[in-house]
Amino acid sequence: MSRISVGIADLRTGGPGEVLAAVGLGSCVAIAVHDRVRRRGSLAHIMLPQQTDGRRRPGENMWKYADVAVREAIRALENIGCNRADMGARIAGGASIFELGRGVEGGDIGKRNVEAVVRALADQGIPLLGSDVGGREGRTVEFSIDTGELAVKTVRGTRRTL
Amino acid sequence: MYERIDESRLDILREICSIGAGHAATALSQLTGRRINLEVPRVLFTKVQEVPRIVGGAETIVDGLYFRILGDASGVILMIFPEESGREIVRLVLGRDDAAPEDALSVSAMREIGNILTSAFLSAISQLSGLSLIPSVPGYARDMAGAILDLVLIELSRLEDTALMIETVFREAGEGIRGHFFLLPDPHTLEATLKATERAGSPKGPG
Repeated sequence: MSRISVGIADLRTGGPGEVLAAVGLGSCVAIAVHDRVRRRGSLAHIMLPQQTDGRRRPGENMWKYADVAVREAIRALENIGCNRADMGARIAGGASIFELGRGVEGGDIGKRNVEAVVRALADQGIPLLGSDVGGREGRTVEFSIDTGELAVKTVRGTRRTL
Repeated sequence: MYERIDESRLDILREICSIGAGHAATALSQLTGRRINLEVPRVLFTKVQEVPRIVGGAETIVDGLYFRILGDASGVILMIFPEESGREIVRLVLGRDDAAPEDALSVSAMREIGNILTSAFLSAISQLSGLSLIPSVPGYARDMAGAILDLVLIELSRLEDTALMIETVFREAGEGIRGHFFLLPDPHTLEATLKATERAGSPKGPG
C-alpha cells in the first residue's frame, strides 16, 4: 500500500491501494472526498477559509483556501470519471493549538476553517460523513482510498476512524 | 512585498537578531546553569510548505512558544524546542527530576522561560532601534511541529506564499539543549524597524 503525503496547501488524488496522508494538522483542515463506487478519492490540506480581498496575486497557490480546495477536490475526481452523486466527505483538523486569549487575531482560525469547509461542502451538495474537529490538539490523518475511511491520530495517542 | 530588501538591509536584520538572540541565550544560560552557544542567524525565504522540515518534520514532537510583538513594530516570535530539550530545560530550571512533562508546573515554567527569553531579545532590539517593543502573553503547546507552525504559516500566507523568517539556533556544547528561535517580522513594519535602527546608529556603523 503506498502512502502519499499531502503537504500544507496541497491537494492529491488517489486510487485503489493508496493512502493519502496529511501530518501535523493544527488549525489547518484535511478534507477527504471519496467516490465509494469507483474507489477514488482526493485529500486537500487547507489553511484559510477564503480569500478576503477577492484578488488573486500572481502565482498564488489557491488550494490553501477552503472554498477553492473543496471545488477542486470534487473536480479532480470528476476529471477521472467519478460521479458527484456517489461522493461523500470526511474532515479533520481545525484545532486551536495555542491559548492566545481573547481578541487576539488568528486565535479562532481553526474554527473558521471548519465552518468554511462545512459550508463549501454543503454548497457543492456533498454529504459530510464524519468529522473530528476543534479541540487543542494537532492531528495526523490517513485517508484509505479502498475504504474511504479517514484515520485520525494525535500525539497523546488518541485514535479515531471516521 | 519582501523583494525590496537588499543585502545591506538583510545584514542589519541579521545583526539585530544576533544581538537580540545573544541576550536571550545569556538569559537561558543563567536560567539553566549551562553554557548555551548561538549559531549565526540565518535569513530564510521559504515556501510555507517547506517550513516544518526546518524543525525536523511535521510530525516531530516539539515544545512551541508563540509570542506576538506589540508596540512600535509588529511580528511574531516562535520558539521551538525538541521534546527532550524542552524537558531538560524545565528540569534544570525547576531543579527537580520528577516533574511530569505536562503538569501545570512544567507548563507554567516553560511559559515563564519563554517570557524571559523573548523579553531579553526584544529589549535588546528596543535599545538598538529606540522602538518600544513588548511581547504578548505567551502561547504554549507541546505537539507535532506541523501543528505548532500552522498558526504562523496561516498568518504569513494571508499575504505571501513565501515566508521571511530569521532563524537562530541555540545549542549547548553537549547537545543536551537545542532550540530554534524564529523572528517573523511583519512586512508592514519591517521597513520602519530597519530605518529606526539605522537612524539610531546601526551596530555595523552607517549603512
